[in-house]
Amino acid sequence: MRLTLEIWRQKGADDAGRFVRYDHDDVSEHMSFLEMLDVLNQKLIGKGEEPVSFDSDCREGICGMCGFVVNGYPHGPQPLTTVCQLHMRHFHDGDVLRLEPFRAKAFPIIRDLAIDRSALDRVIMAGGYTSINAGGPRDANSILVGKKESDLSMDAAACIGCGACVAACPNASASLFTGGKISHLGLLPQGEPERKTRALSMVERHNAEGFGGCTVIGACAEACPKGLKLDFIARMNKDYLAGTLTFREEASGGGSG
Amino acid sequence: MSVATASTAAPAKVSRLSVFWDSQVGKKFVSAVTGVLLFVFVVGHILGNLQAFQGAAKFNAYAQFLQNTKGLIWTTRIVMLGALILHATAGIQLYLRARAARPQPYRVPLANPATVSSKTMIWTGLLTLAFIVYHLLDLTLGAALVHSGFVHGDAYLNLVNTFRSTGKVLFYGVSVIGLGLHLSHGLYSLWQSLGFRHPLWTPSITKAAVLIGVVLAIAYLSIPAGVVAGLIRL
Amino acid sequence: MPTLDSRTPAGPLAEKWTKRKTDLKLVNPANKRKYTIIVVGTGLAGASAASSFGELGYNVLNFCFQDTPRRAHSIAAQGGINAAKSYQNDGDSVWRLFYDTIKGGDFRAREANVYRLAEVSNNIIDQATAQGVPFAREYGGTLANRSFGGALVSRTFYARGQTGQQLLIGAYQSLMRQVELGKVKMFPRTEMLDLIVIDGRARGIVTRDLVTGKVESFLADAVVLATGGYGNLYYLSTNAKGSNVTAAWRAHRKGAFFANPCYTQIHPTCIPRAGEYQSKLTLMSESLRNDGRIWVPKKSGDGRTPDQIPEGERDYYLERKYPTYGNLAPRDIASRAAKQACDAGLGVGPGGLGVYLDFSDSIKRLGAKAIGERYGNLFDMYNRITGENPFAVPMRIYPAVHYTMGGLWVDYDLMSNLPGLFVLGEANFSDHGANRLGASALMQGLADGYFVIPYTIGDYLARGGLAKADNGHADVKAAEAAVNSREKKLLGINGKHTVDWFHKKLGEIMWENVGMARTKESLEKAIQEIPALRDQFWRDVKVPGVEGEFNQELEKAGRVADFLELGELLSRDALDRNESCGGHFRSEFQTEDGEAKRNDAEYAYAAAWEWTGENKPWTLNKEPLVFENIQLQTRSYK
Repeated sequence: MRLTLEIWRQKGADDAGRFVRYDHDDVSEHMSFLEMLDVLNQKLIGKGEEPVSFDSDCREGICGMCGFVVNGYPHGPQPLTTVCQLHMRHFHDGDVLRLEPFRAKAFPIIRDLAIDRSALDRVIMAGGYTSINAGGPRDANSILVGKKESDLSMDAAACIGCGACVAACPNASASLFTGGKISHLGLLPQGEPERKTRALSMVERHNAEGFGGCTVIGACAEACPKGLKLDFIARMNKDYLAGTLTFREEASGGGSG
Repeated sequence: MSVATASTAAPAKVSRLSVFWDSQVGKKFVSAVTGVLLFVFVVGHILGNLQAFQGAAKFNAYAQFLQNTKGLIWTTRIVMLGALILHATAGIQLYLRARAARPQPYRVPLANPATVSSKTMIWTGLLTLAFIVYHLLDLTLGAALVHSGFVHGDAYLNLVNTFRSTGKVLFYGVSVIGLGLHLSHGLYSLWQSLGFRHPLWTPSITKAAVLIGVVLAIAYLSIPAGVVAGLIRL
Repeated sequence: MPTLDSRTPAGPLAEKWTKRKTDLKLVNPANKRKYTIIVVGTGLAGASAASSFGELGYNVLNFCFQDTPRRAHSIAAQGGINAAKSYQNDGDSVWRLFYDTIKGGDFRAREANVYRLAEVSNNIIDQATAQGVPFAREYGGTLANRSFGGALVSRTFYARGQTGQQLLIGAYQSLMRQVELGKVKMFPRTEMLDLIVIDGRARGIVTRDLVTGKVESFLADAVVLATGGYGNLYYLSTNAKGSNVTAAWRAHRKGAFFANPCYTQIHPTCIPRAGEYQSKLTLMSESLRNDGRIWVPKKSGDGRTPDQIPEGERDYYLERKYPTYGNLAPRDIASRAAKQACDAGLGVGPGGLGVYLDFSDSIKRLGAKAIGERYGNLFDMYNRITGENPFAVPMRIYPAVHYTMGGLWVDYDLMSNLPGLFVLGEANFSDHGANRLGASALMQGLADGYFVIPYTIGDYLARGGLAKADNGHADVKAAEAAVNSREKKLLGINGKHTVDWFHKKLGEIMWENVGMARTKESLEKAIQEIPALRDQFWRDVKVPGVEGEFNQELEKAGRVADFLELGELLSRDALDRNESCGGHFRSEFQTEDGEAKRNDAEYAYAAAWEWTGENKPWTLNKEPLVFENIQLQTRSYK
């Protein structure tokens, strides 16, 4: 099939960037979206042009490294599918596809469709863990966790850190990402000791990184390739409120001990 | 490049309250609580004012009763003013923060499946704010600028006079529809902001919020409609 | 031929690790902050090692080429992680896990290492649980287990089909805690391009910042490589696109021995490639073979759709050849049988490179609902990639390169022959021998990082004797200059073919000649063709852009250049090993049943190859494998 691609080309953070049009007449319906771009890049190199930069690694929808916006949809229009797993059979001959990077102040553009998402790492750094060292934990079965709680925690932990929630949110909020981690750990007894301080420090880091706030629009959950739900944001809010109400000065903020 | 570059933890010695207010969750919490207060007023206000359909005597008696119950009316006024200021400030600040969080807008608009009400909260909110100011000048204070024939003590007369003006009816109509939209999202999202969401209840809450928004908008629209239709007349 | 000493402690097998831990020298807690350790890689092994070092008080510099440490390819592991907890009361023990692993590896692993791995496996489950890894649970709240290939007990712990992801996120979170505390300095999007060796010891690395292109050197007291396997040598594999051998290969060229490169694992149940443009292959869990039947048409070039081929014209070749094990024949046998069928022109799908995995009998017998409950998520994944519904049409599968057992040689302390250079996880020549059992890779990565290296590195550091060195040292400058000139050279060739073109060519040579079944002739052919392709690469590759910027083609070019050298060594190793064992199958050495025929008398050793210089032959060093505790046997699946 033949496609017309309009791809955002931007040399770096200082460049203004612009859409560049490419006619791509060598597309098979069995290709993944990224393979379609691979083929385009091989042609561009052959013609002496700069290939399009985009990130990817595992290409099986689990590492979270890929991601850009296709015609207004982060990771493209297929639900629960990362762009590396999106196949061209979902498009039609003659389609015009516009590819833009995920846009947020917290995600500076590196080049073309590749962005810097280290802000998400820094949100995790603020408390997205249990403060235990390797070496001395007790027997795993001495901690009992109900199956429902465990399964719900796994739902939250399924986040791949791709940033599609931020990209989809009109407020560029990373609440689904942050709420996912707060819920994953907060639902388990292992995460209970730091549940409230974790919520405080992670939410405050989220704000410091320049993400917007949640206004319960729900676009994040629609875009999430792993199906994280708004419930996790409610849980974040609850833990944050509980943390504020029970806050004591001695408890050094952040659970980073 | 190293990961640990930009971040900052909150300074050690800082008021918890100001940190709370500064955070998105805190602002949404304040917005939810004040929203509930404002919602209660909106319900009470229409329940009282629907008495206009029962004629001038009944309506003016109700107005007189409110005027005479100083404690109630002033408490309500002060609480509502405070709630309104907090609610509006939180909403505007969240909006500005969201703008700042995406300084480079998408060139192709996002294909969001989100509801109209959720995406327009700032605009329906600002519209409501503008309307409240105008509405107070028009029917409470009777400012000469907006309401020339205002008679202190005759609320019924003032009401009918106002809705004889097509412009005022239109502005009122648009505003209460905006309020209905605002409530149809606000009454759902406030639960989320308070940390409550449950697969059993949330779908019902979502529907109920829309229903209440629609019912309230219709109830508010019924008064100018009553004047235009001649059901409420001098 | 020189022999290598693994420095395994003497004494009974079960006491070796305890004895070693007792004998290791310790670093005073107050002095740990005076040491700096470089860790390259942030997968299970790298992240667990880096966070553990941080917890102990060392200063850590941690590098990964991805945009965040959480992306490392450990994340893609689906099935689970083994441990000898015996929670199921089914008679499991450390000994059984040890024995299954060494037998699964076709008796080509070091006994003491495998026993230690089985010993610490239980600590890993405790550690991961404490971190909040959401392992599957029973209704009573205890951990759930499932069974996996190569074992008769249920000892595999899992978190849905995302066990690797959850274990990696657990390790990543611990790592992020240390970054926040300032003990670990994290360098994402930074690739190691050379090892710095001073006075015969590994002292640092030369890196390229992949965003700015800046080439920089980092010095430390020890260097730990946890950089994964080299499956992408074959171009198409189940590895991530970025997975590469460069860090390990650069260390090899600086003196570290590369051991057993020919041990490559080819997994039978992957989604076949759809066309020339295919960029990687995706694994489908082996568990599908419990209810799916594998077949090809009996007639070559049969163009009919599968539903139109009557039962009598289908060849259920695994059931025919291996009546006892049938479709559950081991990975290597199932993979080779599929290749034979396709080579005979019986393959199905595009290019005839695929066989059917058919669930229609199971669906008839158990109902679509029961099959959906067992394999629903796998069917969805297959459907997403191929657009075909496995409930309606048989799946098409084909073998693909999945894991590499070979890697840099290490002693019992996980230190390479180069003092100060430690190698963990898939990057070392590992505890898996010639073949790895399912659910053992995660176990090894975390064992190395959490429970072995934190002890053994202290011994090396405590022994001291490191000379002062700074970035002005001549050896540092020389390494930097070499990296810079190599980049300039790659960018300056401006030839006709892209990096991917060469990588695909190399992959074809490897797959055809050094793949599932190898012969003397095919290996000699590969040894002819690879150096020729390498020469052509250095004459004719086209790498666009400049070095001082984000340049993904330049990144790939350096990696493929190293693969072009490794491919030759792998072929030579395969040619040198005149036996079949595990993932190394030489067609000349098989039993009448087509099974791997080992030669324990001559080849019970690890082959550790020594780089002697550009275009010079490698020197073979042998580490004899001594089995004090088990009897060597022939595996049989009849």
